[in-house]
Amino acid sequence: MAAPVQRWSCVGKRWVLAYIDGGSRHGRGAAIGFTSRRKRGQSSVAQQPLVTAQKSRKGEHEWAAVVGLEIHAQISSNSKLFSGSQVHFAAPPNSLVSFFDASLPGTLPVLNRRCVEAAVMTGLALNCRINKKSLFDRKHYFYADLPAGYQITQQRLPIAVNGSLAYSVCVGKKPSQVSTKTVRIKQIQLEQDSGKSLHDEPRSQTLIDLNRAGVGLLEVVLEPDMSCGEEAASAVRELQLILQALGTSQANMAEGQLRVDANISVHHPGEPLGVRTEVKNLNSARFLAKAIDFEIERQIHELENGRKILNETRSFDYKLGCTMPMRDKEGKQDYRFMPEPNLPPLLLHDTASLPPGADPQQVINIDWIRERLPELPSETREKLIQQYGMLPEHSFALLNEVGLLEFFQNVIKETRAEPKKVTSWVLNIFLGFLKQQNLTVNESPVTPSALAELLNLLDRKAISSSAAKQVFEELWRSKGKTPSQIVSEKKLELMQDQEALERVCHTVMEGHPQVVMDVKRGNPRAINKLIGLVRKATLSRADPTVIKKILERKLSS
Amino acid sequence: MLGRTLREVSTALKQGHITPTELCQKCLSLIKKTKFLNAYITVSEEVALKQAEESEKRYKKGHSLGDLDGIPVAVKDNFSTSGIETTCASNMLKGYVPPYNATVVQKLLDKGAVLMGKTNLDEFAMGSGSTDGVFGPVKNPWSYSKQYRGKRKQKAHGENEDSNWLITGGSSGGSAAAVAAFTCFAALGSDTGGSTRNPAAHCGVVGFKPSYGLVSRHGLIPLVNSMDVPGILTRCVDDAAIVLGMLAGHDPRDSTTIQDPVKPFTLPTLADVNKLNYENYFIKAQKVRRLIANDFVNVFNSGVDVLLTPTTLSEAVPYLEFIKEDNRTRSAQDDIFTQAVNMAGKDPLGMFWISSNI
Repeated sequence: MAAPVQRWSCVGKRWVLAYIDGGSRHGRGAAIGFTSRRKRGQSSVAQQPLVTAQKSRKGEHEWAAVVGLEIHAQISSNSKLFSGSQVHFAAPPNSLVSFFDASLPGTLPVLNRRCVEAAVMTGLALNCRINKKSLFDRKHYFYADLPAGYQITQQRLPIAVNGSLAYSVCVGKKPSQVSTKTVRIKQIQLEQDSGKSLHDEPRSQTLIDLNRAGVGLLEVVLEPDMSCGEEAASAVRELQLILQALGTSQANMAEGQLRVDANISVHHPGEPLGVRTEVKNLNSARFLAKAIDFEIERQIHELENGRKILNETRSFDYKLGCTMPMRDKEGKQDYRFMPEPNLPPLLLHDTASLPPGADPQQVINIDWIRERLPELPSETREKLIQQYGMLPEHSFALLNEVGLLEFFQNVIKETRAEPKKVTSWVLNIFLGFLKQQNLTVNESPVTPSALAELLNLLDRKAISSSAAKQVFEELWRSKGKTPSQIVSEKKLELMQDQEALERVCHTVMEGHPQVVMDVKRGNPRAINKLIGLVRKATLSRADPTVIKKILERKLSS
Repeated sequence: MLGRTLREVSTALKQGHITPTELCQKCLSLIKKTKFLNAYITVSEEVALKQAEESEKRYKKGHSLGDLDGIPVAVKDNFSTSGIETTCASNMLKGYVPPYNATVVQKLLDKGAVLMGKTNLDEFAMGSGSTDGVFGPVKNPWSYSKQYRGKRKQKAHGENEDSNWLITGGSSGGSAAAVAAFTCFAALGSDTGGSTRNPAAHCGVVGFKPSYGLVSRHGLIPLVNSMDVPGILTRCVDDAAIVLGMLAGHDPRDSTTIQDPVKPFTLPTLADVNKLNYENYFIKAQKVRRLIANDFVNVFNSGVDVLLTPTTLSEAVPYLEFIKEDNRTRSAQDDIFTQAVNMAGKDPLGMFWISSNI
């Protein structure tokens, strides 16, 4: 067993330095002790230790961490925010660039209606107040992938403010121990994405691709209501699901459609907030929590050692697993925010304020959009729980994989089996196979119909559950065969003949008097041996539960 | 023929008294003769002759596009012209050949106008003399009028005759000179603080500044986005009206153009930002601007329909006189009568300035 080490870890909302038994507490790291004030969760380690505290310190020293997020989501639209060029991922470089995107002299921005609607939908889904009037500004800075020398954004008066996002975190070791948390949303604003810089170090050059320049972004600013990486990651995950449900963003982090910057500081509880650092461009769901937790630990470590935290911008090095200061930030940036003179104020309406005789093509009605909002993930989960008596954590799991919910619902449609059975098969066996082979639901060789048929066979006890698993494996391997075909090919049908089964039991009992004696003497495990023998004799074509019943009846008589 | 008004020449074309090609060639010839004025940065001879040829075909078939068909025009070199170098009289854009036409240019071309070339200006339209572009200053055609030549001879004998030429005013001096010298019948300028009206006054032509938002700025390389407008220079008011009729109207490519000419476009309201010093200046300036705009509103609500004021402080001054002060000083001085209207932005009645050489 490893020697106990001191580590900063999260207890409730506090980060404490505590001795942690090196061997015993290392779980998956998923269970983090966050709860409401009442319950003090267990401490656990969030990640592999990257910073070890001084061994000389004993006892606990409390720190609280404060995490805020700025999330940029690319709007799912045909064309860009202010120009007509197309939005496509992975198009040939500089093939989707309009004159305005390249900032040719004399070109002007024209606002894309779909982007405004996406912003309103997202604002409504996040319980924001939609500003009926919002303004556009120029944020100036020089960089090669920003041809205009400024980004058009909404700094003064954004389109949506004061919302909230509810998300769940695990509060214990068991997956069922979840707690709902809320993070306030400061604002949502529309802004332009920049182009991409590709640094070609060997040739000392940087290549610029403007395909992304001008693509519409929704910046969602989350207040610093979170206290560690796990909370931040959960909040981001829920936001992703909401955006995907709305269709306003595909929010795929790997494709750069969702990017997260974190603002992190630490302080002693009861004292004022500490100096914060910004960790930029966290583009991987996997490393989001890691990066944030590393930074928290780093800051605690620095402060504990009498050093100061610099108000700086850092990036996360995925290979080394640590945050590093970003090189080219000299002093504070002056963005020289100015109103964008080429765009009038953005005016939205609701049903009450619609001008009479207004052309519906020319105006945006917030109420109309609200009435047509798609179902949000939280609603979907609630429905699953109500309709199928599902456990909350299962509803989360179903929504957590693209296409899984649809798969589940298609199976339900075609099967007589109980929803709980379907849930279990989909989440454990089906999902297990997918993960093992790193496939998406769309790539699954097993169709919902096939699984439904299999579950039907199981439901009417035509096959045993172990046989069912065999059939599933075979379905996975060989396309085109139906479960019924596989069952008959492999002769997996359960014996339906009760009398024949009784005869086999009888024969086995007669052949193994010693075991029968064991059972009668009260050895509980002995009966399993009998069951095993009967199963073997029937070539596994008998249901173990049925065998057990018959044996018990015979043994008691 | 070149001394006629636009409307008169248009009639002549329709009646076949002259062909578009003949007209175009006459103008090109005169441009060459008046090269010393330095009114043009680029003369688009080939393009013009081709357009004239096409106009001629239309006239022959009786399918003229209207009053502007076959009419030679010039465009200030801060308007984007597809395939024709657009420099803004600056080294920064030397050699820049845009891939698109400014909306106003496209509208002229769609009506059959013949583009003679791009005219000279103060660099990026910053100036009130047309003296500060990299291609040199524009000379006022009136410097070579009999009256002025007489005056000069009286004043200084033996002096180099051309040393005392007069400025055109600016920044659309090239356009004003081009129209005043009869090399075209209409020219596009731009007006941010007086840049169409000032040179019009100095060159004795009509300079019209439309209300902000009436004419599209798409393709007009900006000086001050919230005050710039394309301007029209012609030899008489009627001609300006013809051109305005072709150019005015909402452009979906310019979000600051108005849809309904009757309802005024409201200036964006100001946010309460008071972080940095320079923003205090900017916000302060916006507030003063609003006061100026309100002044006009009040005047026009008090029963006044038309305001007549001088455009410039004096008649056109000699170049040597003008350059005694720097660009910034001159701009501040010379914009005094004209700047206010640009600040007021849009006025429902449409401000109209008559320029005359008094």
